[in-house]
Amino acid sequence: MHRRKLWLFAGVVLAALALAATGSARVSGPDSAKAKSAGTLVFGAEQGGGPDWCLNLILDVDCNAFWNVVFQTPVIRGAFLFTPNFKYKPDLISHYKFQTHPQRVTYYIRKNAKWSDGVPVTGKDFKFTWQTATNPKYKDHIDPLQWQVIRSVKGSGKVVTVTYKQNYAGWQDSFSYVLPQHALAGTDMLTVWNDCICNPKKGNAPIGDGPFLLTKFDRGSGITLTRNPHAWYGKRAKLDSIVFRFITNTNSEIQAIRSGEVDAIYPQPQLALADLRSQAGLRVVSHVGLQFEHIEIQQGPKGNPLAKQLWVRKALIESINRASAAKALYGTLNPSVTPLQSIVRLKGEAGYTNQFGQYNYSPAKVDAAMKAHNCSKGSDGIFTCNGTKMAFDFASTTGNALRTLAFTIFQDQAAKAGIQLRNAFVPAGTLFGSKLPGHDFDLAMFTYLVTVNPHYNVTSFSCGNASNYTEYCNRNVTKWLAQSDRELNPKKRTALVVRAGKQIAADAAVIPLYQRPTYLVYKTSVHGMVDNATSQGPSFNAESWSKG
Amino acid sequence: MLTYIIRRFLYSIPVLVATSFLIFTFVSLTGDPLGRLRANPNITAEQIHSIEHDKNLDKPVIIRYGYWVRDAVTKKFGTTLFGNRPIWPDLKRVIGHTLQFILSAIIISLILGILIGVYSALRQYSLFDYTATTLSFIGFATPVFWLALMLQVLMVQIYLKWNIRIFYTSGLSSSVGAGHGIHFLIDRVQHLALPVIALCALSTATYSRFMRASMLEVLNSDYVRTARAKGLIERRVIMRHAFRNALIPLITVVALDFGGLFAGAIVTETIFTLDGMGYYFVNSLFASDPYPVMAWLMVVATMVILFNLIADILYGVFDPRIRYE
Repeated sequence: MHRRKLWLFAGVVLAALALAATGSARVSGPDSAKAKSAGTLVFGAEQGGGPDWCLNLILDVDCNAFWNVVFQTPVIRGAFLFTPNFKYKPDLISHYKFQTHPQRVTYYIRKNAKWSDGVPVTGKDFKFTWQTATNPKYKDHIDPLQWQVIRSVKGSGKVVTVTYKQNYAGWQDSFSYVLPQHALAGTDMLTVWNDCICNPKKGNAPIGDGPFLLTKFDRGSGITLTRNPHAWYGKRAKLDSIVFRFITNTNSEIQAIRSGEVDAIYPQPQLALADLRSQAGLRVVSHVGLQFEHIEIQQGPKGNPLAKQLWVRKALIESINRASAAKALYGTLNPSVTPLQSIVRLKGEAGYTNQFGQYNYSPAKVDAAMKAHNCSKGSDGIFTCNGTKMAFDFASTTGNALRTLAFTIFQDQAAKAGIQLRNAFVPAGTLFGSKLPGHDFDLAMFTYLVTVNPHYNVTSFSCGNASNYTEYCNRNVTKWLAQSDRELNPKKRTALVVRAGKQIAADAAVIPLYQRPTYLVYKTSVHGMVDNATSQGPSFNAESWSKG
Repeated sequence: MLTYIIRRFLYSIPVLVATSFLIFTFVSLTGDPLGRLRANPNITAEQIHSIEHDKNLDKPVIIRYGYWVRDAVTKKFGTTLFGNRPIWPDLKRVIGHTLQFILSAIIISLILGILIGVYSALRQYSLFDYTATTLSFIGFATPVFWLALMLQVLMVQIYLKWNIRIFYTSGLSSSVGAGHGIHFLIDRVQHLALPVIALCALSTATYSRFMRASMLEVLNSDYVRTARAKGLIERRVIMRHAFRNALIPLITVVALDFGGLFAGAIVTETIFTLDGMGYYFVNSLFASDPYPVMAWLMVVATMVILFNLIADILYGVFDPRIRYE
């Protein structure tokens, strides 16, 4: 009897295995082949769905990650979109009128802009968004900068006027998403859109004013966008649906696109991506984006005291070959990646000028500078100046192969110039959590992800700002940057930022390295996909995507 | 027996408390949950201070531990640090996924391990025995992450060469067309196959070695000799007298393994992007959110203690020489 049971059990297991084998033989061809007939595109997403992942973009402290913007741009629209050429383009609005003294912006909301339940998008929605953002209840969850400078939002129809308390140059960043007042008024914003973009007053029915609606969020698996069944103000979406599938391991993501399990991916730069270029049926598009790698030089009391001297900082820059590092790291992935020569404006942006080109790799120049300052070379080939060794702890984040490779290259080059770089890599949490805010480093290499708005320079380079990790302080730079934040003429604003940038370069305050390239990989059967290397991401034109 | 079980349960309470405190302390001291906010130049220092205060991050670890215990007991592990999401529904979901994965792996490993182990013992020093021994050592020596990556590459190459999908390289289900009923089951098997194979390599090697050693020991015991002397047929001697007794040590190993694997095969789940316990743990750790990490650890610690107890109890049930007083 027992034996019979054992055989029965073994039989069931074998049957299950046989079933799997039969199934696998039958279900041949790519996952996307199944998707094709349904007009569904599967997009591998590197982030999303973690335990603390939330969908409410207005809670930018909690929820505003890059991939959230990618998921939701096709669902919740804003006044402007960032275009791939780093410019603002009116989106939810047809046009705007700009006045100064006081600064006042009149938005003309598209006449055919409406929510998926038929309610028109109006000034009430703009006002509600602003009131929500400035509600003290949410003060720890929303970046106040762009909202607190607004004095009033008026207009309940298709024309809405926003008046500012003071000049605010980054006004186009405001209302990058507009919330549906009729659906969300009176709800708790901290929880209402944790798991859906929906109307809680109508049984959590999906809501949106874009080409798609967020119809499914499987935490841990993926997000499904389904074509908005009602007309929106743009072109009707070509796809029935888009599934963003969470594949947070980059290697798995690469295997998934190679094996046709997903139609597109947008991964972080990895050397393994180079192989994808040669695979038939795949297209790899790469641009330099708005993320830049740089090295901060600590000039405060906790850093190497030598770095307080300008000539030492200049020697540091000239001791590393940024061009060769860029080539070694990104040469096979994107040969157009070259050293970044400005820290305040990036390549592709108005005002980008060559400010750091004056510092070329030159061990001979470093050697001459050292000798001119009576530094002596030790038996290990490293200079010592006034009793202090030219040795710097080089901090960065562990677990990033490209950064480790960059450090190895820089360490070798600097050693040849008589400067020692010591590996001080730490986990990201330690670097951003204690090392940088505590100014506890000599050199630190990390990435800034910035927007088209150059405001980030104010926080990074103004004297005494908490985010100025280097403790670099030049009163003129602080003044020009502060002025740039209030200058409403874009050309004049750019000129102020560039002026500050020139001074920062002259002071050798930081070392810009290179803009990190973006990689959009998709099947050749996918059409209409465009890389948008800004913080907007590739889904800005999701309605134009198609397959076949 | 009942007294023994109750006593073991009571012993496990201080173990759980001590474990939870130690882990909470380590998790709290090693990561900065607000690190990613500090790296964002648009978030003000005042906001960060305010969040620290609201979330009790500015308080000593011991007090924060007290708050955590309160939430764990009264609010099913409370909510995540950011987003205020309840932790328990997520844990319930990933526990279910991990159970599917590890049960499949353990059942297949057990069947293979037992068959290989028994046959190796019966044919000691045969070609089969040597081959099985060699393969099991290869199984021990092969890092799971390497095997997992190789399996992924293999499946991709098969797909590229013949345009046939045998198994999927990531995820639990197809994003599109997973279907219902039998189609869903087939789809799930196709997704779970590679991680199960990766996990089975080590487990099968372990179980087959245990089974072989145990079987050899039993086959050389007096009662088996007696059974043979009584004239019982060889199959009856092996199946009724040797095999059943040889299973006892394996039961213990499997029970302990199950408790450990319940933590989620972290590497395997991460490589194959399986929404299970291990993947949940890694995601929580990267977010530096101590609360889901703590919830995960408590569930795992409870399961390890529970399965240790089950292993002990099973030992007593299957081996009449052992009695718990």
